[in-house]
Amino acid sequence: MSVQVRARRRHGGALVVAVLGILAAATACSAPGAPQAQGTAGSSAAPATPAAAATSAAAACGTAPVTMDAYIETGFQVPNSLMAEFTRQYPNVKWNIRQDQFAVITQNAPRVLASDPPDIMRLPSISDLVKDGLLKNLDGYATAYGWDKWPSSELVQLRLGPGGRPRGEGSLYAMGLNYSMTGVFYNKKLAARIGMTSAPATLAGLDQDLAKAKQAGITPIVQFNGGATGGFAFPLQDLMASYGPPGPINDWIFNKPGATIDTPANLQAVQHLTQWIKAGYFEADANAMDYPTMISRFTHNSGLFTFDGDWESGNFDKLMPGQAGFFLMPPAQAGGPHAAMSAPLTYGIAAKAKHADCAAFFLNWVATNPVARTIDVQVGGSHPLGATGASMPAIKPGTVTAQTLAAGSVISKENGSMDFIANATGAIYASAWTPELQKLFAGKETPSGLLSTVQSDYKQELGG
Amino acid sequence: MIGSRREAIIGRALLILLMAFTILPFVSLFTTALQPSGTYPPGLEWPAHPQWGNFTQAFKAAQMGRLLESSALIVAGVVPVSVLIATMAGFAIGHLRMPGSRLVFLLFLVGLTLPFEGVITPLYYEIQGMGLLNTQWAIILPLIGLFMPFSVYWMRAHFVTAPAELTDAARTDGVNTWQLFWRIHVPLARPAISSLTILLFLWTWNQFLLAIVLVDDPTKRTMAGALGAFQGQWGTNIPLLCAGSLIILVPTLLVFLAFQRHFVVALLQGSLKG
Repeated sequence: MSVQVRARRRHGGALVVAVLGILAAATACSAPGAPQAQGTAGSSAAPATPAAAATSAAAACGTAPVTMDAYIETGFQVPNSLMAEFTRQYPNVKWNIRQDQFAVITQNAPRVLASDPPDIMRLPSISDLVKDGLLKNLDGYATAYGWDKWPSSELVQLRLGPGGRPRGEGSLYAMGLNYSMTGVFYNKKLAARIGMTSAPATLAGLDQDLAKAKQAGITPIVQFNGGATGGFAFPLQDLMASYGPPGPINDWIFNKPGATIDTPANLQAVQHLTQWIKAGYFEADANAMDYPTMISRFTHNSGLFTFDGDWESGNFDKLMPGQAGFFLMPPAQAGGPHAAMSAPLTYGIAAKAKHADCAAFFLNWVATNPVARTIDVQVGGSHPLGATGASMPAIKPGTVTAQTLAAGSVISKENGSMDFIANATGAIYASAWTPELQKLFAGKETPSGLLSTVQSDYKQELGG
Repeated sequence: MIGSRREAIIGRALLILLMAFTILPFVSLFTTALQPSGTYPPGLEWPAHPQWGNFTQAFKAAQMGRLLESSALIVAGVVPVSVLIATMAGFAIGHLRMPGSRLVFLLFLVGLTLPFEGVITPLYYEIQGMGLLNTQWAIILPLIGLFMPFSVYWMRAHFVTAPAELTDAARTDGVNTWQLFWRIHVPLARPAISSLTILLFLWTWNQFLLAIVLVDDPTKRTMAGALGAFQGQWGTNIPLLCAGSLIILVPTLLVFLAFQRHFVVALLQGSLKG
């Protein structure tokens, strides 16, 4: 069956690529015709600044019946559950929910925001949307609701300079419903067989566990690296964070002037990954493995570790109850700080939204209301946003969800969150990371060659 | 005699092999569709507890009832009109050869080289100007136009081979052009018409690009978009995706079976006349 599904997906991919081109053209055409939008969002001095009183439900959403337009992704239950609960608490607010595949949302985002603006919408990468003045500047709401008092790393990826670049500083243009986080999952049954009783505290400890698994005839790491998405970017970025601080990696992803990926620490990381490859820690068909195959193999006990994100926590708890464990990538030096790729589940408000105040109130409610936070964790398995001491729902101890949530607090405290290196530019994942990582696995690329190729592609894309 | 028997055996064996080759993906699609929802099945295996409910669940989750309605509406709007216009145009260009027919045919040939992707941006603005965005008309009208080059080409190919003697005889009997078309040539063109109908039906049914660009409301699009309901940014609900694929496949299969006899006749006709 996987043949069938893969064929379908490839077909979809081709379509998506086609649409991408078209929509790039469409937005280019629409830019001159949309001076209005540019006017409102371009002048960052005039964001919607609700008075302090507007932070109450009555002021933001009114008391008369109101229908909010929402445009969200399919295959993901959290927003639907949150909106239903919101209506239960504020019965005058109803939702008109449109759902599309995430890939379709990615392609349609500029067009929908310009011609049919939703009040609240699931967003792909936001730089270009901000450049075109399609998203509401949320600074006013951030001040009124106190989002600026939260750990800064939670929302830093959604801040942009004027004109959409660089990212990581400036005004807030989107919010998260929660944030997801990555690390290392392990199979407890197989861990017991090699005598691994606790998560490794250092990179050297992880290396030892990998070697023991290899000796015991267990596949040490199940990791996909096939198709258009090179999954080795997960272990690679974890290794980067193990060898160096996350700051410079974020600067590179956020396109800060002068940032480079080709640093000595990152070279060590790629060399380390190459050692793992040479030692045979990955499956021989990693370059042909897609994401669902990886999940299938990991949940069927055919590998000790997998580098993945907490969006799978709920799934693992269901498919292999009590058998999955999680730890953050251990630092190279004992006692060093942890870092992890972490990203908010991005939602925004259209610049021309009719009910922007109510949408902002909803976003704040998601992060602060105890019931909403419980939904976030129990339905989504990811960490809610919000202030450090905010209420957390009780989670069954021993589940992998409990472990990923606890890890989220560690990252938040150590300010160790990084965006994903694949998000640095629109095409860097498909055009540089994926082919380079596939070549590295096949032994046809050197560690330094990988970094210099990615860096030159990066420069070319930003310059162009 | 012996040779021909051996030939028959080898021929049957090859056919069976090819059939197995064709049917295998569908078998695995079917067994996977019966695995528990949300799991990642390892490969071809009959599930311990077949989940027949997956089909109902997939139908509901993807709002297939509404999509079926919308798809049927779009097909009803596109296919009969396209077939009618293409048959008339093919008759005029291929058989009547009105003045300038070669130039008109050449223009259609140029249209054949035009990819949908190339015209979608102007189409968007045109549909917007007509105020038809987000309605099924936004899919129906462009599709009729976009199908024309191929359909006219297809019908012309049929009418070009229609014997001129038939027309001469009919003319002698005093029929006018309309009667000649409707009473004599359309009945003869039935194989070509029904195969064109099947093709246009399939292309309309599977139309995805126009649907996602021109219609914002997913429930007003075509069935092809329904599978998206099982694909999230990260995870894909593979059993439901397979169940959904099978459901989507059923109407096309029914249409094919209904037109199959004509379709086969059309195929054979080509091979005999060649």
